[in-house]
Amino acid sequence: MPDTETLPSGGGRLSLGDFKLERVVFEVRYPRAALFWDRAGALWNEASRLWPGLELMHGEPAKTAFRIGDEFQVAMELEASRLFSFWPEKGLERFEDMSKTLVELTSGVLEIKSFSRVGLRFFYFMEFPDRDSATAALTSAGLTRVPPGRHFGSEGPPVSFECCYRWEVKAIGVRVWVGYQFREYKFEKPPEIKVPKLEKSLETFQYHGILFDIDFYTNAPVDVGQLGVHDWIQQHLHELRRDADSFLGG
Amino acid sequence: MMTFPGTNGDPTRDLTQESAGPPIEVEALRLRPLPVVVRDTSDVPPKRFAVVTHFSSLEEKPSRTATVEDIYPRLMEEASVLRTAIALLGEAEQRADAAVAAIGDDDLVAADIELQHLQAVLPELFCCRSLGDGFGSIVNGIQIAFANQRGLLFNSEQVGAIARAVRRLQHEPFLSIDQAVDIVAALEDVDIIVEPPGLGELADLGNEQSLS
Repeated sequence: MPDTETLPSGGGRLSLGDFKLERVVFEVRYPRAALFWDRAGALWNEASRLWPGLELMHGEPAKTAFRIGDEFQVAMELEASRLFSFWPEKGLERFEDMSKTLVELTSGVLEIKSFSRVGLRFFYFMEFPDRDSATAALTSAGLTRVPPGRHFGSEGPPVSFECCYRWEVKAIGVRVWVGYQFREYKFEKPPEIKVPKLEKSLETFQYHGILFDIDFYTNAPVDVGQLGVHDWIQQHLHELRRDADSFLGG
Repeated sequence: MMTFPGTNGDPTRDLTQESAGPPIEVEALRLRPLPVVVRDTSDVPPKRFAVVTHFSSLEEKPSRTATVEDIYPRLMEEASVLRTAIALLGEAEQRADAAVAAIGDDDLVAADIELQHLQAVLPELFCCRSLGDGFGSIVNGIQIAFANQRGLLFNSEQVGAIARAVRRLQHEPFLSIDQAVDIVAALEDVDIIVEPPGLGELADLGNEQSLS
């Protein structure tokens, strides 16, 4: 369990600098690529050459997923390809390079000319000692107005909070979800295995916090030659860093 | 046992889908050595329904293809390679179209002037080749084509092919080298020479030496 004394207690303002970037996802969607059934092996063969250390996670005709160490996961499907990066470096350099490779692989091997959607999604998490402090931090950030008084048979501060905003301008959209999140991880040891350092057969870890989830996407078809992965990612990374604090009320 | 809440155990589930409610967590993907059970507040049990109903907070999506200006609004507002390239390509396209029109009117002097303006834009366009290898190879091909003409006027069909190449670059500045090969081949189809002067002789020399 985390040391709760070092965690924020909830009264302060929210700032992106207090969140940890846990995960970034780059995605391209396309009209159903029937060639995926023919060329999944060739696709992953080429991917293995470009990304050494690729390990199979999931394989079935319409969906395949691989991982590269603990840092990356790649999923390619009939209608979408995605790259996940866990705890990425600040400038997203490797993530950018791999996203570019993913686009080249997908468009080249599956002969895709146009993407129906390009997405870039960031997951930031800020840990709190409990639900009340996380909710208090959220409600005091001013993202929405909490009406005073009694409502729906209840009154007092809300026990949880979440909100979602979406904007779309021309071909670009952004969806922002902010809210309290409870997480529980259970490690269950099979009885036939002896792990010296694992005393109990079931270890549970619980976390409370605020998830800041922001998804940039295109809402119009994008031709392959229009997608400059470096420019696309850096554009939105810049916007995120520039605007997140003012959005969060920090 | 490893479960993924709301995913019915599927690690390839669409994490970026536009679903309402809190996003699904996949922390379990990182914790493989031991059996893991993960639960979060977005637990949605799988259900079967006879009728599928779709609700959305959005209207129907536009079907037209996005423009470069739509996709990179910030880069088009500030000093960037992309912005410079798009502006120069716009000028090049305009000059090429004007040259085609002038040739149609039998005004070869006006056509020549327009093409000289187009040629003048090319070195600066080539400086934008960091956009991609495809971009660089097409601009380079057109530059070489002008050099190979040695001052002679392109015909209407050839200028039209150059205009199409420029338009394609303007629409898809990040196109790949494979896509660029097709565009350069289209230039060659109308007898535009895109090989550097002297390359043929060099190749012949190489062949002679390998034979002897």
